[in-house]
Amino acid sequence: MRFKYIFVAFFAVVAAMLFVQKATLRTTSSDGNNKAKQWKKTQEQLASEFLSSRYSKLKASLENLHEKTVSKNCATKGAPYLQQATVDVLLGWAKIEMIHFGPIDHEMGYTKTYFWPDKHKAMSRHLNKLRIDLRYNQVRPVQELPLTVTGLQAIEHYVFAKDAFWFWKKPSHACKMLAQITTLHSRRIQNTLASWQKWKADPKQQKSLAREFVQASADFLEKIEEIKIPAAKKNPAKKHRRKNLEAPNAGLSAIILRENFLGLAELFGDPNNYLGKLLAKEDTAVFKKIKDKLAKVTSLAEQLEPNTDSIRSILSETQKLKELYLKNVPSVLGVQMGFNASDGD
Amino acid sequence: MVTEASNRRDFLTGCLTGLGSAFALWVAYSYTLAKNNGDGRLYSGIITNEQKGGVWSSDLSGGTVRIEELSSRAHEIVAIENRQLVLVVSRRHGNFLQLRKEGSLKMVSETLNPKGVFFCGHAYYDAPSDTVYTAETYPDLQQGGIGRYKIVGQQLVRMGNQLLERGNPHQLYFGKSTWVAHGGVITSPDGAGKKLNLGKLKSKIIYSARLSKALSLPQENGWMSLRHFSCHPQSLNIVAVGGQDYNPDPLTRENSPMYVWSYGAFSQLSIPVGVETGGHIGSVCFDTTGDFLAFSCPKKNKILVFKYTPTAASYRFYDLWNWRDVCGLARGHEKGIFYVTTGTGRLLRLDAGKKTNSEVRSFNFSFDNHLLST
Repeated sequence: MRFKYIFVAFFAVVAAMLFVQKATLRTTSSDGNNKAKQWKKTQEQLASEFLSSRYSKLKASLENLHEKTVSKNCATKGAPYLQQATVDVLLGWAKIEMIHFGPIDHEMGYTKTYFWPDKHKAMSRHLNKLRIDLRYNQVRPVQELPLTVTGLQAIEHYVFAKDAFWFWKKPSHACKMLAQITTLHSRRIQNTLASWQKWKADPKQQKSLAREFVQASADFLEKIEEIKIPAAKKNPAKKHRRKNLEAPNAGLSAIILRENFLGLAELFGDPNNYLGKLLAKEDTAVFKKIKDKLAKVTSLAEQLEPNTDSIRSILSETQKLKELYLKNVPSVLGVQMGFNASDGD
Repeated sequence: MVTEASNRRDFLTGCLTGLGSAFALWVAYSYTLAKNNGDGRLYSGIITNEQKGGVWSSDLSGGTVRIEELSSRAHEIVAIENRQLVLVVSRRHGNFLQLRKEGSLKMVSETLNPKGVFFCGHAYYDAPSDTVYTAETYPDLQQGGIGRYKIVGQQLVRMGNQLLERGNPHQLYFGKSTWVAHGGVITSPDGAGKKLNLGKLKSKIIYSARLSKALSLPQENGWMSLRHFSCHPQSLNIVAVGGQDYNPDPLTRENSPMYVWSYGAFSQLSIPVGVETGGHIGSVCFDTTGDFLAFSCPKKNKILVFKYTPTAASYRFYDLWNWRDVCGLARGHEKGIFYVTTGTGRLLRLDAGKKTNSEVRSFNFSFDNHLLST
């Protein structure tokens, strides 16, 4: 009898302690639950719509280019036959270029897909080496070639550059090489797509993907401001040449820039979708400012001319956009940018 | 009546036994957890969600966490081993040094900066001489220097300082040999920390106890500030150095500001084409054997690992990891093990030898700069 009471009391105390512990761990109010649901929904939308649609389009354009490289017309008609398909691939990439994280970055996949800017002229050096190898029929398999000569920027060079005649000296060989390169990229994009399709929002990490988007967009704005726009400036040493233009042979730099801004506008400037929806809900004034600024830089990119005034004006607006973004968006969305965002001593 | 009283007594006895047993279980659980986690602990500065500075500590498995708020950001935590204390050093243009209890992080004493002196975020404790050396800047003089403190009782007492020519120092080592990363940056006298001499930096590594001998980079680069280093755990003659290139043009910025000073000569480490560092190294760390060397590149969200190649007698690029906002690096107790912290609040364990990693724990604050493991 006595032991019965002791047992009952023992279990009652342990159960009470467990209950108290659980109750203290329960952190969220109903408001918090709603927010968590919104975040979860946004994350799923980012993965299932934004990423999937863009990677799918890029994959489709790569497959289209691949088909052209294996068709007979490739060897007979040469580079001009591939030009439109190459433009589609480059614009497809421009739409998803801001995503410098996740499966695409696995084993340097991002840099392997698109090596730009050509820092320290690595691409030029490797192209020269490839030219010499081709002359002596000593070309290694595409998988073993440096990423500088197999990325999408290299395809642009082979297909559009006036001085890439050496590549087309043996057209059938050139087409074969391009076919192998496009297969490599298709596979990588396919794997990336598959990874994102498998991705499931982790309730514990309710903001992880959205946080990546917010941080990656900040990085991307910095890249545009620091590299993309200044690259359009004239090189003082060679007055008539630009410093390090993006897709210079195809003349796509301004269009790529516009696509970059459009991608950001889709993410943050749409009140019914993605992060724009969250932003509009949390702070309408900030949402409106960001939307307007994005519209402005996009229109400036559309009218971008290779003259100083045009470049200066888009650069200044991009700087303002970046400041506005860094000052407001992370705090409104409750995303911690980390110490590196401001300094990183 | 007798039965009722007896039942009540039994019930109370049961409650007490229950409480006692629960407590005993909790003690046993905590003990087992602590035992499994080994003896070491990790320390770092943090930035809370409210954007306030703090100091954090946990065991190696991310458990038994202690967090204390600070008046501003901390940059480095230094172990004061023989006194079971840690020293919290405020971030550059910092105004405090705090001695706190190892593990619990309870404040023991705080030392504020003397007038005209600001701390640069790094310090070193030399156990044999019981001295703390601090990297300092004197904005009025537009010069930097090394401060010297003795630990008297549980207080830091300033013994003096030594000026350095041109610019501020950063990381220090005053152990069996002397190393000072002399970043060379001169900051504005208003205390705002504005860098005044970018493009004309004469950064170097000082390597003599009298601070008179220094080694410059193989190629002159007025934008490069050598700020962090790690001493080889087995050799006094090998030091790995990480720089930060402030060149405003990202295309001409040095992409591999990573050097090894070995037996009197500097050599630059080479990395594969396409690996971006942003010209900015956040932390440098050898593993416990010295076979692996890791650099963090917070601006490009990367950890680069180099491995010692005996045949070439040099460190060769070995591996690459991508983690957003990664900066803090500390060696674990076993070969090839590093602990890594990120600005997104992740604590990771990297096994460089096996090329594997695991997330130890994720927190809802930002880790700030350097990580210490004891």
